[in-house]
Amino acid sequence: MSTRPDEPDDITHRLNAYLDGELGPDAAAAVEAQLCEDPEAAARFDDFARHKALLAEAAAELEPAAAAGAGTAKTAALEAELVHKLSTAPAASGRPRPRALAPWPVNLAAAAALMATGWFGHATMGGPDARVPDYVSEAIGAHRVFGEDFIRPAEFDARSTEDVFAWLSTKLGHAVRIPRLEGMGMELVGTRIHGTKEGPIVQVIYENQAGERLSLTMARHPEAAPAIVFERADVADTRVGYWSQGPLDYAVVTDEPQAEIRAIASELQVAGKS
Amino acid sequence: MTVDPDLADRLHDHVAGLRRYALVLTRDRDRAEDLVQECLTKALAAAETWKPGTDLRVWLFRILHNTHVSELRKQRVRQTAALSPPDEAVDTDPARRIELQQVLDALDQLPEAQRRPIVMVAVEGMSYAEAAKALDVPLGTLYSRLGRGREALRRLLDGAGKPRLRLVV
Repeated sequence: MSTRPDEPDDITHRLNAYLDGELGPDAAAAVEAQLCEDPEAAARFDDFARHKALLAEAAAELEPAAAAGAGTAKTAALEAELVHKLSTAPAASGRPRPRALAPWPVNLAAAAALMATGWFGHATMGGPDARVPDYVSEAIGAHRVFGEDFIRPAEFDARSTEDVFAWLSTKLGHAVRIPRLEGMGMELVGTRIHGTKEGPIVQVIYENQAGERLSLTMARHPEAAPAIVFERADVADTRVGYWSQGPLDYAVVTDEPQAEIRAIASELQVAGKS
Repeated sequence: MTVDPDLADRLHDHVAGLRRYALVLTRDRDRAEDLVQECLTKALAAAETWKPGTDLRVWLFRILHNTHVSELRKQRVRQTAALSPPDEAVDTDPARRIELQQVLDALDQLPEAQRRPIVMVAVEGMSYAEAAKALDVPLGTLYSRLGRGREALRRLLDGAGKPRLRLVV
């Protein structure tokens, strides 16, 4: 360490290291003893601690407004892309990924019912920079990492998914059944639970006979947030449909260009009402 | 393919951290978001340099730091900071808001080299070793800059009610 005329004294270094949890137990005890005996050191320490707390608080107040600002969808898309790249980079030999063999089932009746109720009245075809709620960004990231993982996609298999939904129902104080998509040719692969800053989200992964994957993500709908009727967004090659229903927010995420997101959403919404 | 099951969650937290750090340093929402995006773009291009099992946060902050340094070099002059904690933060009492504003303003008067470690440690809760790695400086230099920066903040903030002290660096 070079010596400069304004170099802080040892006490400053020790107080800072104590404040930041950098001292071992003996050194920390020595600082505590000094704080009891030396009012000047105690005053200095109080100032350092107060300024540190104020800075953390100021940053915490600036962040939510910025995170909700325009331009953050691009950040979310870059973030999802980076998750994907960092997850797949070590296995550059290629994914054991079955490609599309059969088209996705098209449930025209369900799509027609959807139109008739005007349920997707607010639907928009988002570009790559479409703004999406936080839970939708989480859903995209979760799908890219796990939905497309053919070795270990789920932490709870189809059978244990019952337990996940029992847990989710308790957590929400509201009975939630496992959404089924057999009617659309999709079998349940399994479930994952992710922790996010907004709370837990549950990701249910489905697969059709051609091995094409889809994730349905469910999160608690924030009380203050307006209900989402139905929105569509594309983030890079990932296609998303999302909406809120009762106490939950839903997002359907897939990379399959053929998937009928609206029809699937409709099927799920009808099932959710019954 | 081995997938780290926490990666998406961790990266999301780190992006929020990068944004907080960039916001406090730039005090400009658009510039902060641009910095975060440039950092992520560079991280994508350099993804193979990250070794799974090593500290992802330090790796990202290092990229952000280098991006910020080269941006400042291009600009030469730091623009006047403006961003304040939002007014709609209803649960913050006015006196507290003034304090938050004062500490951000005081931070703005410090040299970059002192601001960065202060923000990394205070806002992101980084250890000294992590901050030193992210800033690419020896641990002793980090100690010294953090100490000088915090002393300077104290002088600036203590002087708020008295005739304003000018920071000489």
